[in-house]
Amino acid sequence: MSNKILFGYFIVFLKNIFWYKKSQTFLLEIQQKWIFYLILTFSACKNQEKINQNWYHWKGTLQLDSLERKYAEQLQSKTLYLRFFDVDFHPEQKAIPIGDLQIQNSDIKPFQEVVAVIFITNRTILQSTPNEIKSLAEKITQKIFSKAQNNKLSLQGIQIDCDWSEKSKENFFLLCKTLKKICKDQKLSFSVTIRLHQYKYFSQTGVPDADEGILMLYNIGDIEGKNTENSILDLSLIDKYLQDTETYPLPLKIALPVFQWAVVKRMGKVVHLLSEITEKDLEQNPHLKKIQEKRYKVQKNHYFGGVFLYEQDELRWESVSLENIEKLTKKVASKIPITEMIFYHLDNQLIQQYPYEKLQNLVHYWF
Amino acid sequence: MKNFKIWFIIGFNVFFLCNTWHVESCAYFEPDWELYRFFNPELSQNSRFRPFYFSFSRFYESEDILQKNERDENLIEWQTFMENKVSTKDLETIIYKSTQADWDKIRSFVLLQKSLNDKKLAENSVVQYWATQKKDAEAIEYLSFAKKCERYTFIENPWAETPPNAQENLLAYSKEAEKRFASAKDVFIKLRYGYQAVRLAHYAKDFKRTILLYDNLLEPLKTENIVKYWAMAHKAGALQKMGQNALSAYLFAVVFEKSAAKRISSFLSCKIFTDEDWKKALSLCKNNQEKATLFFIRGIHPQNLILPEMMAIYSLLPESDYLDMLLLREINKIEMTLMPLRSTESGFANTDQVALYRAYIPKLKSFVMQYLKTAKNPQKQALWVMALGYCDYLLEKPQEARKSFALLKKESLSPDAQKQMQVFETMLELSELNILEKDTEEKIYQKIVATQSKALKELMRGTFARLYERQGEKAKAYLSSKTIYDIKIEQKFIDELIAFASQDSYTSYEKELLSKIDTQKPKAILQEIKATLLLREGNLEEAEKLFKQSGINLTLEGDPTSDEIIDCINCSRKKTYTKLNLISQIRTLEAQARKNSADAHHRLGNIYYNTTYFGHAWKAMDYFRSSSYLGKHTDCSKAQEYYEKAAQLYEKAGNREMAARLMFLAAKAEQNQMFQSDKFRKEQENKMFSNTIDHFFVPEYRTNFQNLKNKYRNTQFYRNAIKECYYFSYFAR
Repeated sequence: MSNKILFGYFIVFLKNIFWYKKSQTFLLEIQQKWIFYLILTFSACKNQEKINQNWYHWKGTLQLDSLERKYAEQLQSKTLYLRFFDVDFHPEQKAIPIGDLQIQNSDIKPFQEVVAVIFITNRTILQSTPNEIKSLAEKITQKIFSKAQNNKLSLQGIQIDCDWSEKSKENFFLLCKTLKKICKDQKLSFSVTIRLHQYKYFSQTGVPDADEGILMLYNIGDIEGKNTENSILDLSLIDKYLQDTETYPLPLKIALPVFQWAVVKRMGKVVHLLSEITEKDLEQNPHLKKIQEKRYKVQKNHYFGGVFLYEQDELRWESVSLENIEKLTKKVASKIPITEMIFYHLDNQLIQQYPYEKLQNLVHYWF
Repeated sequence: MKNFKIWFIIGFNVFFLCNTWHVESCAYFEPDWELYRFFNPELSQNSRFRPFYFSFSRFYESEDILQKNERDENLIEWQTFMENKVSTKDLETIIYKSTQADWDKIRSFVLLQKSLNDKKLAENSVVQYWATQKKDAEAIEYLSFAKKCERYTFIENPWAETPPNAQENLLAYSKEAEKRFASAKDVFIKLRYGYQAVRLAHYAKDFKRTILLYDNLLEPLKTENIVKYWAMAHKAGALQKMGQNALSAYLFAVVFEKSAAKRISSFLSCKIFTDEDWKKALSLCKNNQEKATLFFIRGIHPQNLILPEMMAIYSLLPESDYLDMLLLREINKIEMTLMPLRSTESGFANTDQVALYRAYIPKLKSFVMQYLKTAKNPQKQALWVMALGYCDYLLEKPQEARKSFALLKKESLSPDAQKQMQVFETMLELSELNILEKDTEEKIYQKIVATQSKALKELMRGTFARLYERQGEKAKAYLSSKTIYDIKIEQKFIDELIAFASQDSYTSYEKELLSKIDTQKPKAILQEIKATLLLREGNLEEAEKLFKQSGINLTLEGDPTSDEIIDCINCSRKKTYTKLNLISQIRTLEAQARKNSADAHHRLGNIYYNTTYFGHAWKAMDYFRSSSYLGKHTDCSKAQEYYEKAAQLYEKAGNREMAARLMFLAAKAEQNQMFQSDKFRKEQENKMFSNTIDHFFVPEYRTNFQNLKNKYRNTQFYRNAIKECYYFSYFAR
């Protein structure tokens, strides 16, 4: 029921109060109606702004398949957060783009627009001078605009993903400031990803100059940790970050994990992340022996998940169950108001684990 | 007070929570790996694999050098084609640095006899060769054509997007190249047109055409010319895009073996994802050398283990030169894990990794012994015997190492191998030292300095430090691994260091150690540090004597006798002081304080507050102040005592405003004591993730706040304090 209609009822009701004879039963009736209308009116006044659900696309090639389009359609996703390229530091060439997105099919329906996402390594920010940072902002935006134009992609905004540190903060904030200005001139939004520790301790880490922040609710644990069970999502750690936190100075959206991988450790070090396989693949692999829940040891050298595994390698399966996504969302909803959630990331193999009806329901934690 | 809260929260949170804020893990930090590389990778004498020697960078050589190598292979071809009558530099200019406009001029000049109004081009030996010796129209037309294609094949600016019509143009040029291939007469030029046709089709993403062109144009040319392998790499790339991974990997392995210019790109592109593809790729190999190449490529992937691949290669080709290079690569990798622990006692590997590598070495050793049973080549034998001995060294078995090294016939060793053995012998000598006397120290030091080896020097320092530690020579042990910066921060062994700096004579190593303190006056520097520590302890007389002896009296910014309601550590100040005049100020004020001067007590309180970690004059008593953790001089109890006394004296004199002020200053000092108390620290740890501050009000440390609240509520100072100090306003609410 829209606010206007309810307000109309309220005015009529007030009019009735003044124009009708006051009998006891009438007054009682009026009181009941009054309460009813008050409830309706205040419910109507409650903000029922829709929470959009969108997706990150992080693959090297853009070519959406039917399942991916279906999910986007069912969730009424309009915006595709598309990784355009990464930026890394080369000793001779300085900051260079790498991992350029190959666009096999630029038809992204039902998505209507893209936000170009650029991942920048922290060392790029550290190794650049302030002048180089400003020039980098120009290069990044020019490349984004060319790519979008050449492939007829409707660009809605630019997002930077970088886990900046204390040492790189000044340069990173300069980059953000420069990019924000360029975006503003082009009428584009500018956003940055925010890690949980940057969210929690923003008074120390600082807040980058952006229109909004995307709070990354994954990759929280220590992937190298001997005792780590799941480096993607640890709900107990989430609690600590969300507790007793002041309001973040930027409007926030959240990024939720819908991915999984097997962490491969060799000679005490993480060497691969296998994201092309499922837990079933691990269980059914005759060359792997289960040594603990979700942990396996390689018994024979062989190829698996696209990499070569050696005897004695250890694999640790990490995934995010729907139940845990729901718990995560519930926790976040009680602390952070949002207008959008973005799932990381859109991949046929991954999204099959999460019925889209369930993903749709996640928004209700805010109502 | 408000600022204090902010920096204190920052300090504690960063200190305790540094694992949640990725400072070092994300910072760009490249250790000096040369410090831990003892086994020379060049000993494999296989410079064609140099880029793949073990390195923490992507490749052993810089990518500029790699790019240059690629160009060189092409230039050699052209030079031979031009009968060695042109200079390489001029060839490089013509082929790689000329523009389309330059080529138009060259064509007009050589083929159409038009004048050449370009001095640089006119003087180029290649242009002269064409103009005067061999008017090679085919070559000129080819290079001119290749230059035209560059617009679409060579993107100078990595930030440029591929032009929208690039694919169409590339395909058009590919077809043009195919036509010219058919009409070309010279095989050298024909090959190159064929290569361009294949390459351009690949860049145009017409993968079927790429494969077809290679099979139809180049495969029938029974030649071992390097250009054929360049084209083969493009075919391999196209096959990969079409999902034919086994054949693609096989061809990349062939190119890897045959072409130095394309070795890196072939290595990066050679990808196998399944056992099936691996078996298929192996079955395509025509001989054991080709199979060995596939294992080699798999072995040199940074994440992969080398020993299984070496064993596979050995079963195919026991004398393969791949094995030497892999052996050295693996040992260099092990060195990086284990040697830092023996050099500087710090490492980059965790304890698990260290244990795993230690368990791995015996397996490597078994394979080395197996190899040695069948090795025939004396040079290779020598290399593998050295590896065997070195494995024992890495396992901390010097006797075993010596036994292995004794198998070597030193006279028949190459000069590089002899040098390597000298390094190993020195390393063994260091590891076998139990006592370090001056003459031994001098002998070893001179020997190692002469090698100019950074790694040996680092190992020597680490070994000497451990021995001196054992021998109780604390100063030398400490200086072996520390610098003056560390001395000033840690403030350890100062007396021992002064004694060391007071010796009559020094060995060469000792002189080097001394120079780490200062090259001119190390003893004076140490005396100044000692004097500062004495000053901090309150031993004014001894401190003054030692400051004078050192002759060092630094001028420092600030006024320790002034107070600040809100501490400002980094504010710039006009006044200055020295440590010596601070001592005399303290004496004067103490004399006045004994006569119950409130002002003297006040100023003494300020001195004892400001010269702690918490005050602006911290440099009077310390050398380094971290924003992440508390320093060495944090005791504010003396300051608190003086402030409380001053407050009493002001109250007695009827000056309530000053009494309130002094009470507040005492509260500040008291609060600092609270921050260091176990009770507070424990509470702070429990409330680490909370922004509440109730635990900041430990009653036994808030007596002055309480007094201020109870007795001075009606003073102006009290009202100001409520406004200025968040803690006080919270307390007084």
